[in-house]
Amino acid sequence: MSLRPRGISLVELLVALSLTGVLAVLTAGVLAKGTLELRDRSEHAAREQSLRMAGGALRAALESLGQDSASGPDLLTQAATGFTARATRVAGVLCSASPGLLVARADTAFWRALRSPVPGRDSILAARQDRSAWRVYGLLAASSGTACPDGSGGIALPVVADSLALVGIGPGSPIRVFENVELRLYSSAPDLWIGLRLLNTAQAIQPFAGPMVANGLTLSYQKSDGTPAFFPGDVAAVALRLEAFTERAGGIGLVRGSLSLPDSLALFVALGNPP
Amino acid sequence: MRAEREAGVALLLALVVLVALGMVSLTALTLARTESLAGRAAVARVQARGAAEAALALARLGWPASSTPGQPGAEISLASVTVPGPADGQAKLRNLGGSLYALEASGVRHSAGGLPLASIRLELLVLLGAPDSNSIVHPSIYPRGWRLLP
Repeated sequence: MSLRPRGISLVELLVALSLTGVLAVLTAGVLAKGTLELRDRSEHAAREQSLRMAGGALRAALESLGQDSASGPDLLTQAATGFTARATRVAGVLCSASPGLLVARADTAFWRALRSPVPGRDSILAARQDRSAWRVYGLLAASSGTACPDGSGGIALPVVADSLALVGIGPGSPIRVFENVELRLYSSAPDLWIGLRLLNTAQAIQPFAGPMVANGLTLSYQKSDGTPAFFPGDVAAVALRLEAFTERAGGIGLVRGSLSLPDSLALFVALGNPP
Repeated sequence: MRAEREAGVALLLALVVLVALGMVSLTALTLARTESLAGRAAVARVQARGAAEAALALARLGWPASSTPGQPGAEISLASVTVPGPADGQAKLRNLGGSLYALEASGVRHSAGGLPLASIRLELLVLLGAPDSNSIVHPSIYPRGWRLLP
């Protein structure tokens, strides 16, 4: 039987504790640095995604705009930090038009809808058969199924229109069901966001990208010859600049100063249906 | 004889550190993959758009009058292109009644495995005039006829 005493001396214990402490400090430092770098990268990825989404949404909203002498421009108002415009929700073709009622072909070859028309919120653009202009009609009641004069399926759209208002509108007229929307930079303290508001509803503006820096959305409107356009009916293209920063306030994890790195995105959007 | 007991924290400490390092590495890998996918998706959308616009541009050059669909609702395929990516573009002509037609172009960017990464659809309302001397029909753009399809 061994008589060698077992256990550890005080010196050994102190050495072991010291080494453990040094290792723990080194490891904690590496982990903390890695965590912060990961957080930065995550925030940068979110910022890039926010910029891409805002750019895509603004581009999609502007691209389809048009105008004519009867119904005016789809771009309703223009400003340096936003705009209001008609946003198409449904496209179709009429099979008949009578006072108070438009009937569109229901077949999916003709009727392309993001959603069903909503009275009070949506209006209808219908083109004259001579293609000289489009006209605007308010949607009076919800759409319903009906039949076209040729017996095929139709969609009844009750509208505010007498026979005079329907001159030139009839079978074969393309239509667009639209609603007015606003896209702009707005403040929701303490940050700035790009938001969308449905103008014919009581809904408050809803953020869809951000946070943005001050003046993080700037739009400049151009005519087809490249000179500045000061009226919506003259706009043929829009130059956009978006600038967002990484979201730090209210984030999850370690709070480290007030670092917020900006990045920007520039777009030039030509209207698909220019003046 | 007293039982030997060798208690220590080395194994526990090593396990804790390993788990922490593993979590950091896994998060980094996930983040890198997410960023990579988001970037590729953005490029894919541009490529799909390019393919759709190329097909639409080809279709707008015209087509043989005999190919024009005669019945409302009927459609034919007019153009097919493949652009680097690869992304495929298709353009179709659909009769909407009377002299009104819709040129519908779609673009799809595929992955190497053939899965769609991004797609886009455009529509251009057009009117058809009389064929030229070579029996080719050239469309003219209907006012306010351009739009993105959902």
